[in-house]
Amino acid sequence: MAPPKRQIRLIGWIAPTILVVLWQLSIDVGLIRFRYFPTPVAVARALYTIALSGALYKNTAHTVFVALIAWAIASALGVAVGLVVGLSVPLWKGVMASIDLLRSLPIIALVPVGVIIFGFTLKLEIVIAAYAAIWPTLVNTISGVRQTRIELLDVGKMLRMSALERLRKLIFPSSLPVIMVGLRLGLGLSLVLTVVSEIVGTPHGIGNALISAEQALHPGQMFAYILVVGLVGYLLNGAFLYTARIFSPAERSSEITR
Amino acid sequence: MSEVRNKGEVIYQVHDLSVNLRRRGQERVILKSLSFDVRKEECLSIVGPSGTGKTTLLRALAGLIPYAGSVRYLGETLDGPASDVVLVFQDYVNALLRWRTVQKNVALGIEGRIPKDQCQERIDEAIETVGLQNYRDSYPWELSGGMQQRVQIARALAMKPKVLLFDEPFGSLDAMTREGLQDELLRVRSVFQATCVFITHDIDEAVYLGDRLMLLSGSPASLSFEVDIRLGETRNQISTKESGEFLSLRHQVHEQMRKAHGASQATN
Repeated sequence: MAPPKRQIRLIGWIAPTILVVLWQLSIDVGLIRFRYFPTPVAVARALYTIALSGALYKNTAHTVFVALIAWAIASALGVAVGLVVGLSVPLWKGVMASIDLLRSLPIIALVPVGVIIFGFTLKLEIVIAAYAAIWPTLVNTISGVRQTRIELLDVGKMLRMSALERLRKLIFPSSLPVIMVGLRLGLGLSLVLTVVSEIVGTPHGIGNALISAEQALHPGQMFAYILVVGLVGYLLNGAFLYTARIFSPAERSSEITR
Repeated sequence: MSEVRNKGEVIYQVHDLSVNLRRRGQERVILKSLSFDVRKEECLSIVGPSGTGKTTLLRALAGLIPYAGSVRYLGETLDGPASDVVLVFQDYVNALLRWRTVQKNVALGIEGRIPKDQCQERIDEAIETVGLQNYRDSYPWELSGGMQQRVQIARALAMKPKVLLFDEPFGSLDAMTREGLQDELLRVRSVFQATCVFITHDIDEAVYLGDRLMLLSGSPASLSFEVDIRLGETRNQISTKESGEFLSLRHQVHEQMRKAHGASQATN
């Protein structure tokens, strides 16, 4: 299994490398002429500068911290509420329309509302990011629970398992792959919305650094931070998949990561 | 366990059993006024064409669905899953927990209910009975269909049930695996001495495994024919199936089934 994976990874580096080289060349040659469009070399230099000054570490740490806290809150709430709603048919019928309505509201449109209520505080960042992250987790938990096979529920009854045992040993593990997909989507959204509220005005984190670099006309730094957000997203996703694999046997993790 | 088979003792007493099910908002009568007994340590085969309501009957006996009429299990009215009764489902893929190993699947019904060492003992015994001792730590999806069905049987055996209800357990397996598992079932039964109700649409299988056979047919389904099967304790895929007794039983059941089918066609 390992060798083909390696090969794919090597191939994966080819396209971005070519792109970066083309980018550099087209500016050097004069093909692209924008006043504030930096070369890859300038971006690398800016990255080095912010890394050296400690700003990179401070901003990234803040953003990652907020995104993770918000995600944790959203996950706990989403899974708990999702289990309850998924298990109770009358409750499901009663709230599903509201859930669908609320989650189709563009979350970014709610950021100004959050600003009015909380001001540019840490609370704003966490609430906005958690609000965004809760939907995929909630919806996937509900549908995971409701997708539990009747056969499996019959097995539980036949083996005379208590309701709690059925939830713990049958319903929860059988819906886990679907729940995990929700958690993973939630993690991505949490990071995005953290950065959004920083861009809008919270005076910390990557989003804030990005918008400050723009206003100070430092395009190199701006691009450096964009690169960093991308990298953070990539690493968080990777860390999630890695953890999922540790906690579940081969087949389940392949289900989760498929 | 060593008691002599007491043909008189009754495990299930079913009287005037009817089951209605709602399908797409419409209430349908699936079973109408069935009356029969299941006797201690016998294997009762119930045959019928597919779609007759065999599974519904078994689910009623398992206490999984509401019914009208009277079902008495060990003298008491059945309401909900009875103790010491285990149903073996046809659909083994969904009846097994794919995130648990063979061993953990077999443990499902007894873990946490009896002391640990005793639990392990029972798991080992059940796994050995179905011949899966080399696959304890495999996952169901790593096994063939026949082996997966054995896991389900082992899970049932680990509970040391008085009654085993089989819902076409070998229906989705190939002919060779099927015969192997039929013989295994006969062997397991002689060791565990449980009462069995075996449902199938395969007449040969019903005759080969049963001590008694009933025919379920019609819509709504009712019992139309009953016969004792006297093929002895030890049966053999080749010689038993060539014996005159087997062939004449098979003939009778076929004929009755055709008759019942014709009758139901006529009334429809």
